[in-house]
Amino acid sequence: MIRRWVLYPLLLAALLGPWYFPGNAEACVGRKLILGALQEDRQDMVSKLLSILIHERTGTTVEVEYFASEEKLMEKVRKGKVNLYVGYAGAALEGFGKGPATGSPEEDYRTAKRLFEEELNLIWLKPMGFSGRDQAGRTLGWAGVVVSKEALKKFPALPRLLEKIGSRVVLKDEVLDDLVEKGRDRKPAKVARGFLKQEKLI
Amino acid sequence: MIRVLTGALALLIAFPGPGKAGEGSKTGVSGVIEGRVTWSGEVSVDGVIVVREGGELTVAPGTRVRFVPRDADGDGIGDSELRVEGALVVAGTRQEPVIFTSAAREPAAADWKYVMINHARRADVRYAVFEYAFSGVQIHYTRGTFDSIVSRHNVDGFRFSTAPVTLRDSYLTGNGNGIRFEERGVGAVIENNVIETNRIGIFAVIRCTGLTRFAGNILENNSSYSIKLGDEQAQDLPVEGNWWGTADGAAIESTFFDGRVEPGMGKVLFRPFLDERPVPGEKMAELMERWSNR
Repeated sequence: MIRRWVLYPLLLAALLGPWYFPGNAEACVGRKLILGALQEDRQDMVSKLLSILIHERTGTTVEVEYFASEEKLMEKVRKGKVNLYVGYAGAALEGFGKGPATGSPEEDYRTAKRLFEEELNLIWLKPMGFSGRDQAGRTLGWAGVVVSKEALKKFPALPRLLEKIGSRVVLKDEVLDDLVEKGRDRKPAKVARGFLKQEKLI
Repeated sequence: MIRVLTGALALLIAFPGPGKAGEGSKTGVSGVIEGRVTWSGEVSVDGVIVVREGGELTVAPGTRVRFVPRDADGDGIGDSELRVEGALVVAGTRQEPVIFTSAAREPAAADWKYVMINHARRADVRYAVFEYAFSGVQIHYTRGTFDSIVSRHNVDGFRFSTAPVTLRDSYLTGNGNGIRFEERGVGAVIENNVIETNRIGIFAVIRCTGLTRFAGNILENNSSYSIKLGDEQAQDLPVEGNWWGTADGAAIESTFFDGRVEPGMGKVLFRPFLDERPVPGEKMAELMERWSNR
Protein backbone atom coordinates (compact mmCIF):
# COMPACT_ATOMS: atom_id res chain seq x y z
CA MET A 1 0.00 0.00 0.00
CA ILE A 2 1.30 3.45 -0.91
CA ARG A 3 2.04 5.67 2.02
CA ARG A 4 0.21 8.98 2.31
CA TRP A 5 3.38 11.05 2.16
CA VAL A 6 4.14 9.49 -1.22
CA LEU A 7 0.60 9.50 -2.54
CA TYR A 8 -0.37 13.10 -1.79
CA PRO A 9 2.61 14.75 -3.49
CA LEU A 10 1.96 12.55 -6.52
CA LEU A 11 -1.67 13.62 -6.59
CA LEU A 12 -0.71 17.26 -6.20
CA ALA A 13 1.87 17.03 -8.95
CA ALA A 14 -0.72 15.45 -11.23
CA LEU A 15 -3.12 18.29 -10.50
CA LEU A 16 -0.59 21.06 -10.93
CA GLY A 17 1.38 19.47 -13.73
CA PRO A 18 -0.44 20.96 -16.71
CA TRP A 19 -0.25 24.42 -15.15
CA TYR A 20 3.31 24.12 -14.01
CA PHE A 21 4.87 22.62 -17.14
CA PRO A 22 3.33 24.38 -20.08
CA GLY A 23 3.19 22.19 -23.15
CA ASN A 24 2.75 23.28 -26.72
CA ALA A 25 -0.55 21.56 -27.34
CA GLU A 26 -2.34 24.89 -27.63
CA ALA A 27 0.46 26.48 -29.61
CA CYS A 28 -1.14 28.07 -32.59
CA VAL A 29 0.27 28.57 -36.02
CA GLY A 30 -3.10 29.62 -37.33
CA ARG A 31 -5.89 27.52 -38.72
CA LYS A 32 -4.89 24.20 -40.19
CA LEU A 33 -6.40 21.73 -42.66
CA ILE A 34 -5.33 18.15 -43.22
CA LEU A 35 -5.47 17.08 -46.86
CA GLY A 36 -5.33 13.34 -47.53
CA ALA A 37 -3.67 11.97 -50.67
CA LEU A 38 -2.84 8.57 -52.10
CA GLN A 39 0.80 7.74 -52.67
CA GLU A 40 0.88 8.19 -56.41
CA ASP A 41 2.16 10.88 -58.76
CA ARG A 42 -1.12 12.44 -59.89
CA GLN A 43 -2.54 12.63 -56.37
CA ASP A 44 0.74 14.09 -55.17
CA MET A 45 0.62 16.84 -57.80
CA VAL A 46 -3.07 17.62 -57.20
CA SER A 47 -2.58 17.75 -53.44
CA LYS A 48 0.26 20.21 -53.94
CA LEU A 49 -1.88 22.36 -56.22
CA LEU A 50 -4.68 22.43 -53.66
CA SER A 51 -2.54 22.96 -50.59
CA ILE A 52 -0.59 25.80 -52.19
CA LEU A 53 -3.79 27.40 -53.49
CA ILE A 54 -5.43 27.30 -50.05
CA HIS A 55 -2.35 28.49 -48.21
CA GLU A 56 -1.54 31.30 -50.60
CA ARG A 57 -5.08 32.62 -50.85
CA THR A 58 -6.23 32.27 -47.25
CA GLY A 59 -3.09 32.00 -45.14
CA THR A 60 -4.38 28.69 -43.77
CA THR A 61 -1.75 26.04 -43.14
CA VAL A 62 -2.43 22.84 -45.08
CA GLU A 63 -0.71 19.64 -44.08
CA VAL A 64 -0.72 16.84 -46.66
CA GLU A 65 -0.91 13.32 -45.28
CA TYR A 66 -0.20 10.43 -47.65
CA PHE A 67 -1.90 7.01 -47.59
CA ALA A 68 -0.99 3.68 -49.17
CA SER A 69 -4.61 2.81 -50.00
CA GLU A 70 -8.02 4.38 -50.34
CA GLU A 71 -9.28 2.23 -47.45
CA LYS A 72 -6.70 3.71 -45.09
CA LEU A 73 -7.46 7.21 -46.31
CA MET A 74 -11.22 6.74 -45.83
CA GLU A 75 -10.67 5.35 -42.36
CA LYS A 76 -9.04 8.64 -41.34
CA VAL A 77 -11.69 10.67 -43.17
CA ARG A 78 -14.47 8.89 -41.27
CA LYS A 79 -12.69 9.60 -37.99
CA GLY A 80 -12.50 13.27 -38.90
CA LYS A 81 -8.67 13.18 -39.00
CA VAL A 82 -8.58 14.20 -42.65
CA ASN A 83 -10.55 17.27 -43.73
CA LEU A 84 -10.42 16.94 -47.49
CA TYR A 85 -9.09 14.75 -50.29
CA VAL A 86 -9.46 14.19 -54.01
CA GLY A 87 -11.85 11.35 -54.80
CA TYR A 88 -12.82 9.57 -58.01
CA ALA A 89 -16.58 9.14 -58.32
CA GLY A 90 -16.70 5.72 -59.99
CA ALA A 91 -14.17 4.19 -57.62
CA ALA A 92 -15.91 5.82 -54.69
CA LEU A 93 -19.20 4.18 -55.60
CA GLU A 94 -17.57 0.77 -55.81
CA GLY A 95 -15.78 1.33 -52.51
CA PHE A 96 -19.12 2.32 -51.07
CA GLY A 97 -20.69 -0.95 -52.19
CA LYS A 98 -22.91 0.82 -54.73
CA GLY A 99 -20.87 -0.18 -57.77
CA PRO A 100 -20.10 -1.15 -60.36
CA ALA A 101 -20.15 2.29 -61.89
CA THR A 102 -22.83 3.01 -64.50
CA GLY A 103 -20.43 3.92 -67.28
CA SER A 104 -21.64 7.51 -67.29
CA PRO A 105 -19.10 9.59 -65.36
CA GLU A 106 -21.61 12.40 -64.92
CA GLU A 107 -24.23 10.04 -63.48
CA ASP A 108 -21.66 8.41 -61.19
CA TYR A 109 -20.56 11.82 -59.93
CA ARG A 110 -24.13 12.83 -59.12
CA THR A 111 -24.78 9.55 -57.31
CA ALA A 112 -21.52 9.70 -55.34
CA LYS A 113 -22.22 13.30 -54.36
CA ARG A 114 -25.71 12.42 -53.07
CA LEU A 115 -24.68 9.26 -51.21
CA PHE A 116 -21.60 10.74 -49.58
CA GLU A 117 -23.54 13.72 -48.31
CA GLU A 118 -26.44 11.65 -47.00
CA GLU A 119 -24.44 8.88 -45.41
CA LEU A 120 -20.97 10.24 -44.64
CA ASN A 121 -21.44 14.00 -44.23
CA LEU A 122 -18.95 14.53 -47.02
CA ILE A 123 -19.44 17.06 -49.80
CA TRP A 124 -18.17 16.53 -53.32
CA LEU A 125 -17.27 19.86 -54.92
CA LYS A 126 -17.55 20.35 -58.67
CA PRO A 127 -15.41 18.07 -60.90
CA MET A 128 -11.85 19.27 -61.40
CA GLY A 129 -11.54 18.28 -65.04
CA PHE A 130 -9.53 15.06 -64.97
CA SER A 131 -10.40 11.43 -64.30
CA GLY A 132 -8.81 8.92 -62.01
CA ARG A 133 -7.14 5.90 -63.49
CA ASP A 134 -5.43 2.89 -61.97
CA GLN A 135 -2.05 1.43 -62.90
CA ALA A 136 -3.62 -0.65 -65.66
CA GLY A 137 -5.04 2.55 -67.17
CA ARG A 138 -8.68 1.83 -66.25
CA THR A 139 -10.67 4.93 -65.47
CA LEU A 140 -11.94 5.43 -61.93
CA GLY A 141 -14.36 8.24 -62.73
CA TRP A 142 -14.31 12.03 -62.56
CA ALA A 143 -12.11 13.56 -59.91
CA GLY A 144 -13.41 16.05 -57.38
CA VAL A 145 -12.43 17.53 -54.05
CA VAL A 146 -14.31 15.88 -51.19
CA VAL A 147 -14.63 18.00 -48.03
CA SER A 148 -16.09 17.13 -44.66
CA LYS A 149 -19.07 19.19 -43.49
CA GLU A 150 -17.13 19.88 -40.30
CA ALA A 151 -14.36 21.54 -42.31
CA LEU A 152 -16.87 23.55 -44.33
CA LYS A 153 -18.32 24.99 -41.12
CA LYS A 154 -14.87 26.34 -40.24
CA PHE A 155 -13.93 27.28 -43.81
CA PRO A 156 -17.16 28.24 -45.56
CA ALA A 157 -15.36 29.99 -48.40
CA LEU A 158 -13.41 26.85 -49.34
CA PRO A 159 -15.71 25.62 -52.16
CA ARG A 160 -15.63 28.96 -53.96
CA LEU A 161 -11.85 28.91 -53.87
CA LEU A 162 -11.26 25.26 -54.71
CA GLU A 163 -13.81 25.19 -57.50
CA LYS A 164 -11.66 27.68 -59.39
CA ILE A 165 -9.83 24.53 -60.41
CA GLY A 166 -12.41 22.98 -62.66
CA SER A 167 -14.16 26.19 -63.60
CA ARG A 168 -11.67 28.97 -64.21
CA VAL A 169 -8.83 26.57 -64.88
CA VAL A 170 -9.94 23.15 -66.06
CA LEU A 171 -7.38 20.58 -64.98
CA LYS A 172 -7.71 18.22 -67.94
CA ASP A 173 -5.94 14.85 -67.95
CA GLU A 174 -3.27 16.03 -70.36
CA VAL A 175 -2.62 19.18 -68.29
CA LEU A 176 -2.20 17.16 -65.11
CA ASP A 177 0.00 14.56 -66.82
CA ASP A 178 2.19 17.36 -68.14
CA LEU A 179 2.59 18.79 -64.62
CA VAL A 180 3.42 15.33 -63.25
CA GLU A 181 6.04 14.89 -65.98
CA LYS A 182 7.60 18.26 -65.23
CA GLY A 183 7.62 17.31 -61.56
CA ARG A 184 9.99 14.43 -62.29
CA ASP A 185 12.74 16.87 -63.25
CA ARG A 186 11.97 19.62 -60.78
CA LYS A 187 10.39 19.66 -57.36
CA PRO A 188 6.63 18.94 -57.76
CA ALA A 189 5.76 21.76 -55.35
CA LYS A 190 7.70 24.20 -57.49
CA VAL A 191 5.92 22.98 -60.62
CA ALA A 192 2.55 23.30 -58.88
CA ARG A 193 3.32 26.81 -57.65
CA GLY A 194 4.50 27.86 -61.11
CA PHE A 195 1.30 26.55 -62.70
CA LEU A 196 -0.95 28.36 -60.22
CA LYS A 197 0.99 31.57 -60.72
CA GLN A 198 0.85 31.24 -64.50
CA GLU A 199 -2.92 30.78 -64.31
CA LYS A 200 -3.16 33.81 -61.99
CA LEU A 201 -4.69 31.73 -59.23
CA ILE A 202 -2.07 32.86 -56.74
CA MET B 1 -3.28 16.16 5.67
CA ILE B 2 -2.77 19.92 5.27
CA ARG B 3 0.80 19.55 6.49
CA VAL B 4 1.43 16.89 3.89
CA LEU B 5 0.05 19.04 1.04
CA THR B 6 1.96 22.10 2.24
CA GLY B 7 5.11 20.04 2.34
CA ALA B 8 4.56 18.79 -1.17
CA LEU B 9 4.00 22.33 -2.45
CA ALA B 10 7.18 23.48 -0.75
CA LEU B 11 9.06 20.69 -2.49
CA LEU B 12 7.78 21.84 -5.89
CA ILE B 13 8.76 25.44 -5.19
CA ALA B 14 12.12 24.55 -3.68
CA PHE B 15 13.05 22.33 -6.64
CA PRO B 16 11.64 24.03 -9.66
CA GLY B 17 13.50 21.66 -11.99
CA PRO B 18 14.28 22.25 -15.63
CA GLY B 19 10.88 23.80 -16.27
CA LYS B 20 11.59 27.07 -14.46
CA ALA B 21 12.89 29.91 -16.62
CA GLY B 22 14.39 32.48 -14.35
CA GLU B 23 17.32 34.81 -14.15
CA GLY B 24 20.52 32.89 -14.42
CA SER B 25 18.88 29.98 -16.30
CA LYS B 26 20.87 30.19 -19.47
CA THR B 27 20.93 26.72 -20.90
CA GLY B 28 18.05 24.78 -22.37
CA VAL B 29 15.39 26.76 -20.55
CA SER B 30 11.68 26.22 -20.85
CA GLY B 31 8.85 26.84 -18.44
CA VAL B 32 7.13 29.84 -16.94
CA ILE B 33 8.05 33.37 -15.92
CA GLU B 34 5.82 34.93 -13.34
CA GLY B 35 7.79 37.73 -11.69
CA ARG B 36 10.30 40.15 -13.17
CA VAL B 37 13.07 38.36 -15.02
CA THR B 38 15.96 39.71 -17.05
CA TRP B 39 17.81 37.73 -19.67
CA SER B 40 21.31 38.63 -20.72
CA GLY B 41 24.25 37.00 -22.44
CA GLU B 42 23.49 33.68 -24.15
CA VAL B 43 20.10 32.06 -23.56
CA SER B 44 19.15 28.72 -25.07
CA VAL B 45 15.43 27.93 -25.30
CA ASP B 46 14.48 24.29 -25.65
CA GLY B 47 10.69 24.02 -25.57
CA VAL B 48 8.15 26.62 -24.59
CA ILE B 49 8.71 29.68 -22.40
CA VAL B 50 5.57 31.40 -21.16
CA VAL B 51 5.65 34.85 -19.59
CA ARG B 52 2.51 34.65 -17.47
CA GLU B 53 -0.01 37.49 -17.13
CA GLY B 54 1.70 39.01 -14.13
CA GLY B 55 5.21 38.38 -15.39
CA GLU B 56 7.61 40.69 -17.16
CA LEU B 57 10.59 39.62 -19.24
CA THR B 58 13.29 42.14 -20.02
CA VAL B 59 15.96 41.18 -22.51
CA ALA B 60 19.15 43.14 -22.02
CA PRO B 61 21.24 44.68 -24.82
CA GLY B 62 23.47 42.22 -26.63
CA THR B 63 21.53 39.13 -25.52
CA ARG B 64 21.44 36.25 -27.98
CA VAL B 65 18.46 33.92 -27.55
CA ARG B 66 18.86 30.64 -29.44
CA PHE B 67 15.87 28.37 -29.98
CA VAL B 68 16.66 24.68 -30.23
CA PRO B 69 15.14 23.23 -33.42
CA ARG B 70 12.90 20.37 -32.38
CA ASP B 71 9.80 19.22 -34.28
CA ALA B 72 8.12 16.59 -32.13
CA ASP B 73 4.76 16.80 -33.90
CA GLY B 74 6.35 16.58 -37.34
CA ASP B 75 4.44 19.54 -38.77
CA GLY B 76 7.57 21.05 -40.27
CA ILE B 77 7.63 23.88 -37.74
CA GLY B 78 10.01 23.89 -34.80
CA ASP B 79 8.37 23.62 -31.39
CA SER B 80 10.51 26.07 -29.39
CA GLU B 81 8.84 29.38 -28.74
CA LEU B 82 8.53 32.36 -26.44
CA ARG B 83 4.92 33.11 -25.52
CA VAL B 84 4.10 36.36 -23.79
CA GLU B 85 0.90 36.89 -21.82
CA GLY B 86 2.42 39.50 -19.48
CA ALA B 87 4.94 42.13 -20.57
CA LEU B 88 7.94 41.97 -22.88
CA VAL B 89 10.68 44.57 -22.99
CA VAL B 90 13.45 43.97 -25.50
CA ALA B 91 16.01 46.64 -24.82
CA GLY B 92 18.49 46.25 -27.65
CA THR B 93 20.63 49.18 -28.71
CA ARG B 94 22.14 50.30 -31.96
CA GLN B 95 25.52 48.94 -30.90
CA GLU B 96 24.19 45.86 -29.10
CA PRO B 97 21.02 44.45 -30.67
CA VAL B 98 19.16 41.53 -29.13
CA ILE B 99 19.09 38.50 -31.40
CA PHE B 100 16.39 35.80 -31.46
CA THR B 101 17.67 33.04 -33.68
CA SER B 102 17.87 29.33 -34.38
CA ALA B 103 20.36 27.13 -32.57
CA ALA B 104 20.79 24.98 -35.69
CA ARG B 105 24.19 24.77 -37.33
CA GLU B 106 22.60 25.39 -40.69
CA PRO B 107 19.57 27.48 -39.81
CA ALA B 108 16.44 27.65 -41.95
CA ALA B 109 13.01 29.27 -41.80
CA ALA B 110 10.65 27.64 -39.25
CA ASP B 111 13.46 26.13 -37.15
CA TRP B 112 11.58 27.58 -34.20
CA LYS B 113 8.00 28.72 -33.84
CA TYR B 114 7.77 32.36 -32.84
CA VAL B 115 7.76 35.10 -30.29
CA MET B 116 4.00 35.14 -29.72
CA ILE B 117 2.53 38.09 -27.85
CA ASN B 118 -1.13 37.35 -27.26
CA HIS B 119 -3.58 39.10 -24.92
CA ALA B 120 -0.52 40.50 -23.20
CA ARG B 121 -0.08 43.69 -21.15
CA ARG B 122 2.42 45.29 -23.50
CA ALA B 123 5.38 44.78 -25.78
CA ASP B 124 8.18 47.29 -26.18
CA VAL B 125 10.83 46.06 -28.58
CA ARG B 126 13.82 47.99 -29.84
CA TYR B 127 16.83 46.93 -31.85
CA ALA B 128 16.04 43.25 -32.03
CA VAL B 129 16.63 40.69 -34.77
CA PHE B 130 14.19 37.81 -35.36
CA GLU B 131 15.39 35.15 -37.75
CA TYR B 132 14.73 31.57 -38.90
CA ALA B 133 11.33 31.31 -37.18
CA PHE B 134 7.90 30.36 -38.45
CA SER B 135 6.84 33.90 -37.50
CA GLY B 136 9.55 36.21 -36.23
CA VAL B 137 6.93 38.12 -34.29
CA GLN B 138 3.23 37.40 -33.86
CA ILE B 139 1.21 39.89 -31.87
CA HIS B 140 -2.52 39.75 -31.20
CA TYR B 141 -4.84 41.74 -28.93
CA THR B 142 -1.90 43.65 -27.48
CA ARG B 143 -0.54 47.18 -27.72
CA GLY B 144 3.04 47.08 -28.89
CA THR B 145 5.87 49.20 -30.23
CA PHE B 146 8.55 47.76 -32.47
CA ASP B 147 11.30 50.15 -33.33
CA SER B 148 14.38 49.41 -35.44
CA ILE B 149 13.86 45.67 -35.56
CA VAL B 150 15.05 43.27 -38.23
CA SER B 151 12.96 40.27 -39.23
CA ARG B 152 14.50 37.98 -41.80
CA HIS B 153 14.44 34.41 -43.11
CA ASN B 154 11.11 33.61 -41.46
CA VAL B 155 7.92 32.28 -43.04
CA ASP B 156 6.17 35.42 -41.75
CA GLY B 157 8.40 38.30 -40.77
CA PHE B 158 5.95 40.34 -38.72
CA ARG B 159 2.40 39.11 -38.17
CA PHE B 160 -0.34 40.92 -36.33
CA SER B 161 -4.07 40.77 -35.84
CA THR B 162 -6.49 42.89 -33.83
CA ALA B 163 -3.54 44.75 -32.33
CA PRO B 164 -2.75 48.47 -32.08
CA VAL B 165 0.91 48.05 -32.95
CA THR B 166 3.46 50.48 -34.28
CA LEU B 167 6.24 49.14 -36.49
CA ARG B 168 8.72 51.75 -37.56
CA ASP B 169 12.26 52.16 -38.88
CA SER B 170 12.49 48.39 -39.26
CA TYR B 171 13.92 46.10 -41.88
CA LEU B 172 11.97 43.08 -43.14
CA THR B 173 13.84 40.95 -45.64
CA GLY B 174 14.09 37.41 -46.97
CA ASN B 175 10.77 36.27 -45.47
CA GLY B 176 7.87 34.42 -47.10
CA ASN B 177 5.63 37.34 -46.10
CA GLY B 178 7.35 40.49 -44.87
CA ILE B 179 4.18 41.53 -43.03
CA ARG B 180 1.04 39.45 -42.61
CA PHE B 181 -1.95 41.03 -40.94
CA GLU B 182 -5.67 41.03 -40.20
CA GLU B 183 -7.03 44.31 -38.86
CA ARG B 184 -10.35 43.09 -37.47
CA GLY B 185 -11.40 46.55 -36.39
CA VAL B 186 -8.12 47.70 -34.87
CA GLY B 187 -5.69 50.01 -36.67
CA ALA B 188 -1.90 49.84 -36.60
CA VAL B 189 0.91 52.11 -37.78
CA ILE B 190 3.50 50.82 -40.25
CA GLU B 191 5.90 53.59 -41.16
CA ASN B 192 9.37 54.23 -42.50
CA ASN B 193 10.25 50.56 -42.86
CA VAL B 194 12.19 48.83 -45.61
CA ILE B 195 10.36 45.72 -46.83
CA GLU B 196 12.47 44.10 -49.52
CA THR B 197 13.44 40.77 -51.07
CA ASN B 198 10.59 38.90 -49.42
CA ARG B 199 8.37 36.63 -51.52
CA ILE B 200 5.36 38.77 -50.61
CA GLY B 201 5.92 42.23 -49.15
CA ILE B 202 2.58 42.56 -47.32
CA PHE B 203 -0.18 39.96 -47.06
CA ALA B 204 -3.51 41.50 -45.98
CA VAL B 205 -5.41 38.32 -45.18
CA ILE B 206 -8.91 39.34 -44.20
CA ARG B 207 -11.02 42.08 -42.58
CA CYS B 208 -8.64 44.92 -43.31
CA THR B 209 -10.67 48.11 -43.70
CA GLY B 210 -8.08 50.85 -43.98
CA LEU B 211 -7.59 51.54 -40.29
CA THR B 212 -3.89 50.76 -40.54
CA ARG B 213 -1.64 53.55 -41.72
CA PHE B 214 1.16 52.58 -44.07
CA ALA B 215 3.41 55.53 -44.88
CA GLY B 216 6.98 56.27 -45.86
CA ASN B 217 7.82 52.61 -46.39
CA ILE B 218 10.12 51.29 -49.09
CA LEU B 219 8.71 48.17 -50.74
CA GLU B 220 10.88 46.78 -53.50
CA ASN B 221 12.27 43.58 -54.99
CA ASN B 222 9.65 41.36 -53.36
CA SER B 223 9.68 38.42 -55.74
CA SER B 224 5.98 37.53 -56.12
CA TYR B 225 3.99 40.56 -55.04
CA SER B 226 4.54 43.74 -53.09
CA ILE B 227 1.01 43.38 -51.69
CA LYS B 228 -1.30 40.40 -51.79
CA LEU B 229 -4.90 40.44 -50.59
CA GLY B 230 -6.46 37.33 -49.10
CA ASP B 231 -9.27 35.51 -50.84
CA GLU B 232 -11.91 37.04 -48.57
CA GLN B 233 -10.46 40.54 -48.45
CA ALA B 234 -13.24 42.21 -50.40
CA GLN B 235 -12.52 45.78 -49.25
CA ASP B 236 -9.99 48.11 -50.79
CA LEU B 237 -6.74 48.62 -48.94
CA PRO B 238 -5.45 52.22 -48.79
CA VAL B 239 -1.65 52.43 -48.69
CA GLU B 240 -0.81 55.91 -49.95
CA GLY B 241 2.57 57.54 -49.57
CA ASN B 242 4.99 54.66 -50.01
CA TRP B 243 7.79 53.87 -52.45
CA TRP B 244 7.22 50.82 -54.66
CA GLY B 245 10.54 50.51 -56.44
CA THR B 246 9.43 52.57 -59.44
CA ALA B 247 7.55 55.75 -60.25
CA ASP B 248 5.60 54.01 -63.03
CA GLY B 249 2.03 53.55 -61.80
CA ALA B 250 1.25 50.68 -64.19
CA ALA B 251 4.41 48.85 -63.12
CA ILE B 252 3.45 49.31 -59.49
CA GLU B 253 -0.03 47.90 -60.14
CA SER B 254 1.52 44.79 -61.63
CA THR B 255 3.07 44.01 -58.25
CA PHE B 256 -0.32 43.62 -56.55
CA PHE B 257 -2.46 40.51 -56.23
CA ASP B 258 -5.83 42.14 -55.71
CA GLY B 259 -9.12 42.90 -57.43
CA ARG B 260 -7.25 43.83 -60.57
CA VAL B 261 -6.32 40.16 -60.96
CA GLU B 262 -9.19 38.48 -59.17
CA PRO B 263 -12.66 40.03 -59.46
CA GLY B 264 -14.48 40.17 -56.15
CA MET B 265 -11.41 41.09 -54.16
CA GLY B 266 -10.62 44.63 -53.04
CA LYS B 267 -8.00 46.81 -54.68
CA VAL B 268 -4.79 48.24 -53.34
CA LEU B 269 -5.17 52.02 -53.34
CA PHE B 270 -1.60 53.21 -53.68
CA ARG B 271 -2.00 56.69 -55.19
CA PRO B 272 -0.56 59.17 -54.40
CA PHE B 273 2.73 57.32 -54.03
CA LEU B 274 6.27 58.49 -53.42
CA ASP B 275 7.84 59.07 -56.81
CA GLU B 276 11.38 59.04 -55.48
CA ARG B 277 13.02 56.50 -53.28
CA PRO B 278 13.39 57.97 -49.78
CA VAL B 279 16.96 57.93 -48.59
CA PRO B 280 17.14 55.61 -45.56
CA GLY B 281 18.44 57.34 -42.46
CA GLU B 282 21.73 56.45 -40.88
CA LYS B 283 20.18 53.93 -38.46
CA MET B 284 18.32 52.14 -41.24
CA ALA B 285 21.37 52.15 -43.50
CA GLU B 286 23.27 50.43 -40.72
CA LEU B 287 20.59 47.76 -40.28
CA MET B 288 20.51 47.10 -44.02
CA GLU B 289 24.27 46.96 -44.27
CA ARG B 290 24.53 44.46 -41.46
CA TRP B 291 21.49 42.25 -42.06
CA SER B 292 20.86 42.40 -45.78
CA ASN B 293 20.62 39.19 -47.85
CA ARG B 294 22.41 40.86 -50.69
